[in-house]
Amino acid sequence: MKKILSFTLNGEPVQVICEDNRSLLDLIRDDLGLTGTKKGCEEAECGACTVMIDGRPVNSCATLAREVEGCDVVTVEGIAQNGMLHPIQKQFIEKWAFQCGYCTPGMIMSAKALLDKNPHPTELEIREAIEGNLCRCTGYVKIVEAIQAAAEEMEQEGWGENAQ
Amino acid sequence: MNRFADKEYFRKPEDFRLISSTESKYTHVDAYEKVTGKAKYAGDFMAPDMLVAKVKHSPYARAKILSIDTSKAEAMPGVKAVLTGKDFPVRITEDIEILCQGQVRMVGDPVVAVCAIDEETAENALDLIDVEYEPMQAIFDPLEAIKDGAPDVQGYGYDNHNIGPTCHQVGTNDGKDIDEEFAKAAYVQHADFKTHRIQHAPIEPHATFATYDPEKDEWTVYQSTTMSFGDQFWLAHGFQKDVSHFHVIRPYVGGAFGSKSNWPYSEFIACEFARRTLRPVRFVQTREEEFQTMHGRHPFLIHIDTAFDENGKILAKKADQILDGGAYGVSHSQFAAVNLSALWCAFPYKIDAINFRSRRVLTNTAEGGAMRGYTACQVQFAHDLNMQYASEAMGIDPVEFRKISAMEPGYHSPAGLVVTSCAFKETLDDAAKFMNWEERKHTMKRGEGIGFAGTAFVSGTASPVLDSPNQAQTNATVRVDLHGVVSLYSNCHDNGQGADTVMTAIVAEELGLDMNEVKLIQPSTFDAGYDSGAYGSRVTFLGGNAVRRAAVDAKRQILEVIGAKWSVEPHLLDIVDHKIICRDLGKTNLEMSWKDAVYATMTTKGGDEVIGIGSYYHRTNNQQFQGKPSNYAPSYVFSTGACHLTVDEETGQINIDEFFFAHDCGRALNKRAVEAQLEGSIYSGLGYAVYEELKLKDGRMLNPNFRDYRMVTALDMPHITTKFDYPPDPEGPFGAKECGEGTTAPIAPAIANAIHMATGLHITELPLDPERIWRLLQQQKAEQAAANA
Repeated sequence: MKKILSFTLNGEPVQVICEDNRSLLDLIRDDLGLTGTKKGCEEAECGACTVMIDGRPVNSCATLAREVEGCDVVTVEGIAQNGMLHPIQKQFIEKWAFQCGYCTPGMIMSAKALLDKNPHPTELEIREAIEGNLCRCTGYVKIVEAIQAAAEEMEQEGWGENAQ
Repeated sequence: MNRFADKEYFRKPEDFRLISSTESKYTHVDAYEKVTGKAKYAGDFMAPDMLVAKVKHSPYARAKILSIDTSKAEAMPGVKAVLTGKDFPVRITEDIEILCQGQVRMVGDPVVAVCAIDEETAENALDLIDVEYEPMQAIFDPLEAIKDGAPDVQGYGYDNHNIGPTCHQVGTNDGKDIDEEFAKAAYVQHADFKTHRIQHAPIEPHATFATYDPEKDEWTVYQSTTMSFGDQFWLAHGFQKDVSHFHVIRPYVGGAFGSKSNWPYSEFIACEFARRTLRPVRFVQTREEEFQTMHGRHPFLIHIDTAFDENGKILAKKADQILDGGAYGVSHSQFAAVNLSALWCAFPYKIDAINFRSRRVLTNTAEGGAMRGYTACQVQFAHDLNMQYASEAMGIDPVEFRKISAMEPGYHSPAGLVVTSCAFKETLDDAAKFMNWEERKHTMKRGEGIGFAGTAFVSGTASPVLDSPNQAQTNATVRVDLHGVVSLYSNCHDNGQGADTVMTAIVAEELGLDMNEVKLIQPSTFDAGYDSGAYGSRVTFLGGNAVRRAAVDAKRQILEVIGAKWSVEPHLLDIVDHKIICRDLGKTNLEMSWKDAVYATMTTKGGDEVIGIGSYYHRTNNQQFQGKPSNYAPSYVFSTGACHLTVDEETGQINIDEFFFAHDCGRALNKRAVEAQLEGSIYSGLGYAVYEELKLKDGRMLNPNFRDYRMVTALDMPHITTKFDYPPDPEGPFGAKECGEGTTAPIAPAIANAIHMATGLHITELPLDPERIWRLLQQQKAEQAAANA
């Protein structure tokens, strides 16, 4: 059955007509055209589809779109602010923390959810936060370094205080 | 082109500004798009009138197809077309049917395809299709399949024990008589090894987005691929048309590791649906389809006999290897697996006499194929453990033992391999030093071990997959416009390893420009020259050399014009930091800006643009596999992996606390990318050694998903240290060699050797998961108890 669904996507209000069984991932990608959020397994295992719902990192492939009624949804397209890349994005570039880039959007969203809640994570806390994000290229070394560096940069520039 | 042309114009090492630089001016050309989600992968392409395709797969490992009834599916609203085997009469690479005709050969074989308005409709339609099968006796064990009278796995009637026409290699490479060498040996090590089945599992599944223009009779195919010209060639073959009908575009590729050097049924099906419906068609394979149908790492059975003299030097080696080939790949596609598995037996040691036999045997399982460290991971696992056990038997330190027979610069093997640069011994020494081996080897406790493993790999598979003039496999073009803006037309395939970035850097380095001033034309089969693909560790060495020559060809043309104006020999000019400078003594004050020089050159040439072209080849053949000398690649790389670990003898769990990796890749062009490749190699090798295994029951995969097929997570990775500063290669572009593929090979043997040291277990099989180690420990205890009783 189709319903009208209202929620906030990357800071903008959205209203869409949506089937009851539509996944949030398919809604974001195929209906709204934001293809930064990736489809890797469709069984909530790889984390490539990670988005933030009300500040929490969630596998959008295993979330029904109708569940985000009234929620605040953020995808990788929505984290740059005022014409500036988010410090996590900048540090992923600086530390060479991606290769093929397919897991990168989900990885960045898990990192953002972590740093918004915990601005000074330990290395173990970072690794725990991205444990559900599979990367097949990097061995995670440079991803962890990038998140550590982003935490420092966010503190210096006060990004954490303005977090969505 | 002549490999030696224009060499006097090559940038000299003392003038490098980008190469080996870690400064921020070395940029990642796809960085912004990848961190913002703007990078488009094949499955991200869409159109308002797009249809989607899905496939119904065989539930049987071997069966006759008696009938297919698609009538209910075709009548379903939203279904636009249905295809079966009869719609694809032509086989691909000789033995692969796009949709099976008459017989299925493995669980997961594609049988019927549906095209519908959305995925849900397509999936529901698949459920309405009735396929009637008559199951046949299937065969899953290569040792059974190779026997006299075994069922014909494929049903094509190859009458040679399920091996096929090209998958049997046997030969002897002997500088000396092998029997005499064995007869005079002080020690002979005999060993048997067995390796398991794993898969590439790139996070991006295979995807196709295809459109068709009936007026031009032309397809445009966005394909997740690392061999776009192979896609073009086989699409043309499959549709019985000329290649000019297929415009294959490679968008961003979300990892491949060997899996995207094939021609998946999905691209043929999407193209046929696009033709029939005149609408764009998207086909993204599901994760289960990926696991069921991709050609993962071949399982191996390996027997090795190695003869040593009294000092521990290798005299001769015999190797007999059986590869489980799965249901397909008897011809073009997988004979490389057989060839390479024979080649690796000779690596990385000086061996005067080798006798080998490699046989790739068909079974009713998913096809074995190319995967990062193509057959080197299996073969060198076995051969390195063989060295470890021999060193112990002969009472020689394992690091020293490997150095005794290690390949050296300038070594010519009886097989015809010509080693140019080689720092194998240095990598062994660096690993021993890092691990403080000399001291710690005497102080290790039970349950604690350090393992070393030494391996080698090719730097550029030179023999062409598809015929090309003079075996040149990359044709690059550099175009300089009137404003001095440079465009690079190159199809060197980037699957995430950074080919786009390094090719841009090579051109910028040669022309004295910043990377942002070199525009890479996003490639396709019609927009830039031929490139055979990202496989066989060929991109940086073979592709990079071609791109470098294209840049230098443009550079030479400009310097010739400016040299004539200044009355200076052109090769005494150079381009450094946007300026033409003169190195002719007495005229070093001459200088001209890059833009002025380009403008002057075009004016002199009557207004023509400057176009530089480049190609590169290493001529070779496959004769070494028949025992005749041939040099497979232009260069070779050498690696040592080393780890320190502890074993929990209660659970069989291992804990790797330190991994050191030394890799002789010549000069690293991009140090951060090389370091990242080595870290990724350790990740990949660790997964192979300990975590990953595709489990089959009656040919059906029990774990075709990321929950049950356990991949290494951020929490599983050990601490890593890498080293890769070794002498440049004389022929590599700017001195570079391979990095990132063969580097996967030493990981599993290093871990196995460390477990062996920690526990005394005699390891012969992969994976080294806790269950296997626990069982081996129980067996060891029982044997010790029996010996004490």
